Amino acid sequence: MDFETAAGEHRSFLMQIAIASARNPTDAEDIVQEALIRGFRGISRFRGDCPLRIWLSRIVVRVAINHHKSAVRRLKRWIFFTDLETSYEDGSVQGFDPQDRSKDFDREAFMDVRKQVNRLPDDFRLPLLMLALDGLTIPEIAEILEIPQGTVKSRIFYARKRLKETLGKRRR
Amino acid sequence: MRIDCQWVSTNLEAISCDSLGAEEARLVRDHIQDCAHCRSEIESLEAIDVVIKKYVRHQMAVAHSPGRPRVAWGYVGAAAAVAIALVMAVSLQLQPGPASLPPAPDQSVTAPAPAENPGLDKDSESTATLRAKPEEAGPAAGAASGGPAAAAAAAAAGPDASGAPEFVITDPAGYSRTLEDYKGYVLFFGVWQPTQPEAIANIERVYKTFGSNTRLRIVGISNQREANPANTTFPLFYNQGSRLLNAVPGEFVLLDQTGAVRLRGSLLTPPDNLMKVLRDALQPLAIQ
Repeated sequence: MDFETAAGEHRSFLMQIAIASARNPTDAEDIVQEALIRGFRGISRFRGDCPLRIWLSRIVVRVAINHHKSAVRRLKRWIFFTDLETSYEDGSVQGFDPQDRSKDFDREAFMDVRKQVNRLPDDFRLPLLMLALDGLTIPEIAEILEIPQGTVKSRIFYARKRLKETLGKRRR
Repeated sequence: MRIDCQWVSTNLEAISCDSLGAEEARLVRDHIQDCAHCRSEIESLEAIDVVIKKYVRHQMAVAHSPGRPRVAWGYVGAAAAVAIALVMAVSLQLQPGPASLPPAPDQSVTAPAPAENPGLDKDSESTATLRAKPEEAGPAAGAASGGPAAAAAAAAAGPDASGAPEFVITDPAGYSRTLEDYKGYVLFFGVWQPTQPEAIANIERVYKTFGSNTRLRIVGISNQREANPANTTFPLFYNQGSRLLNAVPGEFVLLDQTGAVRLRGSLLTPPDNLMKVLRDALQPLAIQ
């Protein structure tokens, strides 16, 4: 199977990984694109000791983390978030359809969740969000992040614990 | 084996990671069924997953939404650049001259100063008057060579002409201390760096000998954040870019209850000499 068909097949999966890894969902598309380009260039280094989608996911995670680190994007993101805090105008709202809001969606609580989730260090944030993806299991998360399964579990635990504390504090 | 609420709370991680043995897991299940407190504890952790699921689903919706308007970041970036340039231009014009321009690293360390200004001013005043007095001849005599006039000028200029405060240190937890916090105590501080094992050993020795005295405070200060050196127990502090009363790594300073400098010296001397000198200095302060 050539790379292109494989990439097409795994694209939606990679998109999920990118959404979980990126702090800003609007970056996900770019991240997948960049990861696929890198994967295509480096396919000769793929030894086949893990499924291709896991290998590509690793690239996606790395690209997503670097994406966030880049200084220019940090500035952008800062503007992005300050906009979001005060107005309804862009970011999540653009993709936010009204029928979702009818389901008693508490927008302010959601902004809070987003803020607190994004405050988690990558090590803890990634396993927690990946677990929430459909069809991603702990062994797979461990393989993508290249850490032992026990570590994945304990990081998920600490992420939950911290979110519980920070979100609980706000609610009170 | 008995499983109670305390056991559950200390083993919450193992419970939530499913790393308990079969027997333990069964006991925990039984306990949780009866204990509302532990149940709510565990359920509230699981509730986070529901929130996260919802959050991720929403993020998906955002990412897959077609035709979302993109903000023209080029314009935002240009605007930011112009703003930064303007701020820089204004601040450059406001600077009186290059001579009084503080070096860049100092500028950053003065950031926390405004909140503590009253304390700092008092500090520098007290040390300034102290320098005006004829100081004991010591390695730091050079510091007082400016005489009363320089001391007065330093007092008038607030913390210092270079902008660095006299003495601000941070403990590993991030709380900062000034000399004000040590008023009423005799303070011994030694400045060390990892390349000076003798200094570290000497601070440790001083701490071992005098550390039990409650009226004496002994601290080891490093200029960078360093890990605890091996085999040491003395309290570790980091310098926040302050001048530490002009003590450089490898030196110690002893201040009395009023904050006046009683003794300065090198930590790179043989330990017996140092202890003798210290004992002599602490005697009049009624510290054995």
